[in-house]
Order: sequence, then C-alpha cells, then structure tokens
Amino acid sequence: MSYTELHCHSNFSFLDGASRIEELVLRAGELGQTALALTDHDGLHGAMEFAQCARAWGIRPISGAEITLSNPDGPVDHHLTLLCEDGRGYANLCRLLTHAHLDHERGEPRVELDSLVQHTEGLIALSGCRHGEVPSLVAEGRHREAEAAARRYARWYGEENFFLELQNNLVYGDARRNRALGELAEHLGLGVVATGNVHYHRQERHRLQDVLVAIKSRKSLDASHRQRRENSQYHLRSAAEMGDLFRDQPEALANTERIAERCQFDLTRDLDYRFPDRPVPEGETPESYLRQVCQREAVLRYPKFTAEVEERLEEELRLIEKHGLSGFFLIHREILKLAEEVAHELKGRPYHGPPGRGRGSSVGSVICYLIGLSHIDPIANNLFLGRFLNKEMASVPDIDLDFPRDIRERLMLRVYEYFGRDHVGLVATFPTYRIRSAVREVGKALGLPAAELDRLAKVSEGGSAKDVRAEMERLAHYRDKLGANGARGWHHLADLVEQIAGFPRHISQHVGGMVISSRPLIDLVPQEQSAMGGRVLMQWDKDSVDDARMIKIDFLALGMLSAVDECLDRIEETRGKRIDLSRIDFGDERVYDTICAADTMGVFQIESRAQMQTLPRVRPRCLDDLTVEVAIIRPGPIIGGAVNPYIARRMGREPVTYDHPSLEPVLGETLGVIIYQEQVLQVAMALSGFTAGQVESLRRAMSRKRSQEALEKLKGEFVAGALANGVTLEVAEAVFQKIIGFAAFGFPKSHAAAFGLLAYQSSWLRVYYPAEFLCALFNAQPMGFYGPHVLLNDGKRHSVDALPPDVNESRADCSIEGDAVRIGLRYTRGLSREAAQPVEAERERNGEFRSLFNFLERTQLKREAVENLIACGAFDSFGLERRELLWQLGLLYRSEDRGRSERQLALALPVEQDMVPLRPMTDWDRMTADYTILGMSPNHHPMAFLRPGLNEAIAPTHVLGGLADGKPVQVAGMVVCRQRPGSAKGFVFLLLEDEFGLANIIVRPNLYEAERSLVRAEPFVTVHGTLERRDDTINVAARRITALATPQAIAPEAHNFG
Amino acid sequence: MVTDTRTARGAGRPELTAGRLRPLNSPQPLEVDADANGVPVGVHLAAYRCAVESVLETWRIDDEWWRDQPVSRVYWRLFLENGCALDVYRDVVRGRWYKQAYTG
Repeated sequence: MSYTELHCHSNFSFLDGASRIEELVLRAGELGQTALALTDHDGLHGAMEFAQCARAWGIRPISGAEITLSNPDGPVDHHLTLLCEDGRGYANLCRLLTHAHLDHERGEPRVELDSLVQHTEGLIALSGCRHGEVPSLVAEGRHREAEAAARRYARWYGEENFFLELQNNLVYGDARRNRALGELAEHLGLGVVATGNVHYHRQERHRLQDVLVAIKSRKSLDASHRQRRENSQYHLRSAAEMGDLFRDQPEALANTERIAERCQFDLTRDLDYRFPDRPVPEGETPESYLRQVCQREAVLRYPKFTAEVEERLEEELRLIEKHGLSGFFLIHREILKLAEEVAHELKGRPYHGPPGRGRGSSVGSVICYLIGLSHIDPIANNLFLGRFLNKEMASVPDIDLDFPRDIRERLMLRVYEYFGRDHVGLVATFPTYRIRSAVREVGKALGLPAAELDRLAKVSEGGSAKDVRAEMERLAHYRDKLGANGARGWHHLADLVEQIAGFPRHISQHVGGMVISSRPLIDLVPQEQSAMGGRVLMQWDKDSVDDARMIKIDFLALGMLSAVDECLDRIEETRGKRIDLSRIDFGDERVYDTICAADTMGVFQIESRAQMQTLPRVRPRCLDDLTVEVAIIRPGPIIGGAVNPYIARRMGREPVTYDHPSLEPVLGETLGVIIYQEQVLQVAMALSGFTAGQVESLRRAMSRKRSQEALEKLKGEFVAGALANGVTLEVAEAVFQKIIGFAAFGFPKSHAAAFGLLAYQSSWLRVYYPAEFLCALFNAQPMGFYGPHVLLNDGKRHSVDALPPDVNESRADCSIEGDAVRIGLRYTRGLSREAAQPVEAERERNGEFRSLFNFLERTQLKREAVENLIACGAFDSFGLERRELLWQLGLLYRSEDRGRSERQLALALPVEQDMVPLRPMTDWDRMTADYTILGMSPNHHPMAFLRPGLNEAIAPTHVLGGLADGKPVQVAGMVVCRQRPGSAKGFVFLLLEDEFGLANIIVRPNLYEAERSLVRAEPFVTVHGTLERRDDTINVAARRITALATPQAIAPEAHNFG
Repeated sequence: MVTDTRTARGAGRPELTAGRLRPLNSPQPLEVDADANGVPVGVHLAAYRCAVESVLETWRIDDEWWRDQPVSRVYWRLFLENGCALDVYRDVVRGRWYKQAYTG
C-alpha cells in the first residue's frame, strides 16, 4: 500500500504550520512518499521554495493551497483544498488567491463563490478539513444540505475532479464524520480521498504548533484552549499508519496516488514567465536598435572611439544577442527615461545629472554606461564584465539602481502605470523569528514573566534564535533557569525558541525589487496588499523570484543621493552657484587630506569607526584608492583575512606575495589579497580553470541561504581543477578556504567604484560647503552611521553652528542661515513634515507670528506640538521664558480641556492674575528638553555640565592625541555608537563623545560579558583603560567601565550595530 | 445584642466552600486488558470481567504539556459484550487506564 500526502501546511501558513519546507520534504522521503502536495492557507508564499527543495530531494512537488471560502450564511468561513493539475489550474489558483487578498481586508483573505466558479479549470478540489462546507454540514447532521453542497462542487469542478476529503487526526468525531462522508460519496458517485491535514513533520513538533496558535490569537497557551488543536496528531504519517486509520476505506488511500499522478504541473519547469518586449522603430529588431543606441552614445561619451572601446562594445552586444537580452536592456533604458521625467516633475527643473545610478556588477558593462544605467566608465576604470555578462550565464543579469528617496517612490508608481498594473509586482520578503522576537513571543505564550523576557531579549546579542540556549548559558541570571532546578517553562522556552528560529512571521516588502512581466503576473504568482496602503506585493521573496527566472529590478533608495541632491539645491539657493558633480576636481589634495586624516563624519561609506581606523593607514590619494577603501571594510575581506595584509603591504611593511604565480594578474591591483567579489571568481578561473558558468554557480552558492550542498560540490570541482593545473592540494584547499571566508559579503569592484565616487563627491561637498552639507544630511535623515546630534557636534568642530528652531525663522526642513544651519520645525517631536509645512506657508503668506496667541490662531497645530516647540526654544524670540509660555499655553487652551469638541481659545491675552512667577529653566533643563524633543542640542553638550563634577584624572578627548602609547587613561562621555561586529570575535566598540570630540573604546569579550547590561544600555560611562596608538589612530582599550551618573535622566539616542 | 443564629440554622449541612465543590464525571481508575497493539479487549468492572465486543471510536487529547501535570490521553469508546457502551482512556504519561464518559 502506498500513500501521498495531499494536504500539508508548512510554516508559510503563518503562525499555524510548525515545520519548515525542508523538514516536511525530508520526512516525506523517509516515509517513502514519492510526491507531496503543499497546501498552505490562502497563499503560494512557499510554493517555489517547496518545488525546488522537493525536486532536489527526489520528491515530486504538487502545488496547491487551502483556500478560505466566504460563507455569507454562517459565522465561520469554509475551507477548500485545491491542487493544480496543470498550468491552467495553477494560473486559476493564482487568480483566486489574488482576488482573495486584494478584494478583502488585509489579513482576511477569502474567495467568494462566484469567483470560485469562474476559476475551476485545471484544478482538483478536495472538500477540505472539518471546516470545509461539506464536512461541516455532515458533522452537524445536516445531510440534505451536505448533499446539495457536494453536488454543487461536483458540478463546478466536474465529478472526476471533486473528492470528499477524509481526515482522521484522532479527534473526537473524526471517525463518524468520515463514515458519513463515505456514505455520501457512494450515494453521489464521487471519490473519497484521505489526507492528513499535516501541520508539522513529526509528532513532537505539536508543542510549537500550539505556541504558534497562541501567538496568533495573542493569548497565552492557558488562555488559547479554544483556538489550539486537540492533540498532537497532525504530523506526516507513513502509508502503514494511514492504512490503519482508514482500514475501512482503502479507496481513500488509493485515490491519493491517483490524484498525485494526475497533478503534473511543476513550478520548477512549467512557469511561463517572459520579460516584456518593447516596441522598436519600424524596420529595426531589438538587437539592431540596441546597437544603434549604443553606437550613437559611444560617439558622445568616447571622443576617441578606440579599438578597445569598440572591441568591448562588440563583445557585450554579442553576448546580449546570444542570450536574447536586447529587449531587457532597452526596457532599462526606458525606465531611466521615466526616472528622468519623474525627477523633472518633482524638482520642477531638469535634474542634477542622471537621477539614478547603477550599483553592483552592472557598473562593469559598457552598454550599461552608454544607455545611462551606470555613470562609471568601465574601460577607463578597468572593470570586470564577467560577473555581469558571460557566455554561460544561466539567468538574466542583476541590475540594481539607486535613486534619491523621493524619486524612487514616485518612479515605482510610474512603472506600474507604464507597464500596466497586472504586469508589475513588488517582490516580498518574509521577516523571520530571531532571538529577541522569539524570546518575547514564545515566552509570552508560555506565560513567563514579561520583565524577565524583556531583559533576556535586551541583553542578548540579537542573532539567530538557535543561539538562545548559549545566550542563556552565558548570563548567570538565566543559566540557573536552565539548570535541573529551573522552572519547566524556561526549559520549554529554550527548546521552542530553537525550533522557531528562522520561521517566517509575516509578509513584508523587499527593499525595492520589482518584477515586470509580459504575461499578467497574477497568472504566475498571487498578489496581496502590503502594509503600506496602495502597494501590491507578489507572494514570493527574491529567492523564489530568482528560482522562477523572473527578472527583478531593484529600485533602491540611497539616502546619500537624496542628501547630495539637497546639498546642491542649498548651494544654488544660498550662493547662486550650480555645481556639476561630474566635473569637479577628482584629484583635490585638500579633500584627500581630510580623508587621510579620517575627518569623514557624514561622508558616504567611509565614515564608520572601522573606516576611520583604516583611512590614516591606507591613505587614499585617488579614486582607485577610494574604491579599495570602500570595498575593504566589508565582512568578506575581513573574514577572508585580507585587511591586515593589504594595509601592511600598502604601508610597505611586508612584501606583496601570491599563493600561486597564476594569481598575480588577478590580484596584482589589490597587492595579492582578495578584496573584490569578482576577484573570487577570477581566482577560481585562474587557479582551477573554472568556466564562467561554474564561476556563476559559485557566486550564487555563496550568496544564497540554501547553498551548503552546492558549495561542497563546487569545492570538489575546484580542487580537482587546481590539481590538474599543477597546483598542490594544500594551496588549492587554502585558496578555496579564503574564497569561502570571503563568501559573497564583499563588493564587486564595479560597485565599489560607483560607491567610491559618491564617497569622494560627498567628501568634496563636506570640505567646500560644510554648512550646506550638514543641512542636507539633517534633511535626509535617517541615514548613515551617526545620529543627527553627533553630526551637529561634528559641525560645530568645523565652524558650522546649528541654530534652534524658531517659529519665525525656521522652515519645515532645516535651512541655511549665514554660515549656520537653522533646525527645521519638523525636527520637533510631534510635528511631522506635513504638519510643519502649513506653518511655514502661513508665515510666507501673512507675515511673521507676533505672539503665542497669534501663532495658535493662525496654525492648526495640536497642543502637544506647540508645547514641544516652546520647550525647545522655538518661541524664545518673543522674549518670554519657556515656562511662562507653557503656562500661557495652558491658559489659552483651557476651554478645550473642558471638553469642547472644537478647539476654542479662551482669552486673547491672559490677565495679570492668571500668571504666576515661575523659575526660569536652567541650561541643563533646556539641554534635556532639546535632546528629548529635537534629539540633539544646538547649544549645549551634557558633558560640559558634568565635567566640573568629574575626577580630575579623567582626560577630555582632545588631549588623547598628545598621550603616549600604553599610557593608563580615564575618559568619560556620552555613548553615541555601539558596535559588536560578527567578524570581531566578541569585541565591542564604543564611541564616546564629550564636549571636545570623540574617543574610540575597545571592550574585550570578557569585560563585555561581565558588564553586558552596562555596555549595552548605559547612556554615559567612564572608562578606565590603556591608550593604544597605532599609526595615526587612537583607541582606549577598556579595563573597567562604570556608569556615569547624571542629575536627571537623559538618554540621547545611540546607534547600535550588532 | 442580637444572637447570631446562622451557625445553628446551618448545622448539619456541608459548608458551601470551594473545598466542598466536587468535579462531575471525574475519571475512575479501571483495570483494562489490552492486546499487543494496546487496543482494549476486556475491562474489569465492579464484579466481573467483561469482554470488548467492538471499538466504536478512538480519539486522543494532548494538552497542558507546559504544566507540571501534562495531559495526554487515548480514548476508546467500547461496545461491551454485556450490551453497554463504555468510554475508557489510557493516560499516556502515567500508563494507567481510567473510565470517563466523554461528550466532546
């Protein structure tokens, strides 16, 4: 006897299915099943991953879903199981699911019967679990109605395509219901089929399923009795077990095989996706037209059309023609034209240069350069093409485009309109459970104390939920709970958090991936609403889209592009100068001097602590050097062990060597170490003779989460190839290890070149237009490595003052006032840009505000927003103390407080007896109000107030530069940044700020473990340690850390990484 | 002063306190003979052993696994040779049999 499971939920039945796809597939294989259907609730979110995984393990995947059917006559909607027999059925299922999601409230998908009836072709319908219409009527003893319903479904789907579904999960009533369904089937001449309503692969996983249901119903396990399943019997079963359960109805088992045999649709093979063709002028083909466009542009961009340029262009055109990608490039050209239109509309003028910039490997292509996709000349910059285009590529190349935020938002909408709504989709992403979310949610379901869970979540490192046990073992308070005397709940927590690791929690939007299709996308993958109103998501993430060989275009928002654009506007506004950033001096000594001095706060890509530590040693003096600098501080080169050798070689402290002479041409420009992603691939080609296709497989294996198997296979091929080239086994294995260490976490040179250029341009703006640059950074927040308050203090150190908000001076955004930056009204807490703009407009229209009363009369701001404006000094120019103004505000708002629905001001002017003498705010009060309301203080630094009370031995940061290496030192400051990089072996880096500058603190792993909560959460600290001076960098290696008390609580926002 | 007569009036009756509430239909231990597959074949009633004629239905409950006393039971609705139906369950955790009428 054999059996195929046709009703199975994975964890893509969000907060219901309790097993991963791979667990289900492997278990089905162990049980001897040759096919398996995945029928998640109302979606195909996991369908492609399932199809790929099942194929890889030799199981035939069957696509399907359990849909929710609208039930206008009853309180509970019905379920129906649908399986795809062929491509038509798959398209119908996609359309049904799209309708279910888009035509109903978000999170409440359901299909109306009239829609169901129109999409039956190619689908096999099973009557569903006990919530199915027919089974539920049977269970209630409403046999006539059940019979009528079954006849109806049989009429819609055809008698041979509709089966009564029998499930026996050992729930009270299952056996009786199955007997009655069997009798009904016999009476109507319909088939019966047994299914397992599987929600997990093994019985022991039922506990996690209970927890998921409790989380979904936002209750504890104790309180979710009615929502949870009755028992632990919803797991995959063998044919023998199913045979026992259905020994009276063997036909139901036999039909599982017959249905499985009929369902031949295979997502890995049968999805008919095509990229749209764009019309070309009459008499032209896409190939000839692309050639024409490129040749026209080449003449303009290359005044000397050298043989090298011609050869490269011909090579690329040949490859594009071979892979039939001409239309693909022409479409991208159209998208860039749309971007130009959008930018023009938004700015009301032509944009400063092309609004979008390519990133990634596309920057290596001359055709991308010619059609405006990239702004870097790949020939002049010696960029590698092979990763982007090669003879053996199995999929279309990736093209990522960076845009300023506002342009990107509008462009995505324009792409919808241009290609048609049915033909464009946003790629989804599935946020997964990590340790903090898992501890909080699982712990709450288990009924563990919220404060204890919160503490564990906060002090844990925030990595994979699989590490929960190790994290608890590390923390004394929780270690005991895992011991023999620990409460049962904490043991359950550790087990279940490990199990839930990586489970998708819900669907969300990918950072910017869009798919365009010539065939309506709703025939290829269901669509659903995103949490952001008006946006429609595909139900697949980028891996599934990639597996489907769909072309994803990434429209990415790059904050620095917004900032640069804004900066150019401010310069033009204040100085009447229009700067073309493509024509600035790229060899400016003054700019490189500041970069070499690591004076780069706010500069794109080279502002982080790690970058600042490297810059004085690498000392970039040209764009090529900056390209290396951008690429080197990445997990790939760091873990691959490239950073220190590169720096030592660059500084002439060690000779340049190569693992093998064949690597010299590949690694020469980076002094013998792997820094760029394509070098990994070039090394593989040089050392082991990998073909471009093998190289592409290697790249993909390194960049995907489900790739360990593929990587092992490639290692074998690599070593064999290297040995055949006369390389020793030892060298071959060592080089492969470096490659794997590098993995995909590095930039291709083309990408680094694009980013290096932007790093230089932003640095140039910071040097020559510091006020405009700071102003632009403020307006483009959130972005970058540092919070606005850190940027503000850096500005002060560079003679750029920040002025507090003022209702008569500030715009909604920050603006330039002389050589200073005036903070915009929207920086005030409780005042959005939308609320602040009308204030600015009213002042423009009717003149300055004359008093608080006048301001209230003329604006419609909420009381809290006005209070905040007063508290941060925006009314100081009226000459009254802030507390007096707050008191006045209270008087003016009295009538509202008495419960009037509309705001009505009480009195034009408070009379004298209404006023009381109030103590003025101290400078400390003002500063704390600034931090609370603006997130920064234009006039004060907290450490200036704390300094008089500090021990004299505590050194201000500006004297650290004069101290000798190895000297014991104490520093105190506000923590503005905490980093615990995965590649730093447990070291933590703190950045402390005082009123004079910044200090880098290195916290050893054992000190961190001992003082973890202090290091992670204390806003002000004193550090006792040793000064470490290395080349031109200064750090303090902490020996002891203590909290620094402040007179009142103040917690400026620090940026925490890792 | 008025005499408190409440105690006198209530004398002889059980006190209505939580301690006096009795659960209805609480499980009663039962001796059950089962075959090699664990299926009941006979039950020991008060006075005699009664053979099982047929099993009408089987179901299972798993609950409260997070508490100190987890619940895991396999229920059997039996048709006995004496013509009566009887619900029994095997406590999977403790390995004991009980009878308890089950109504869903």
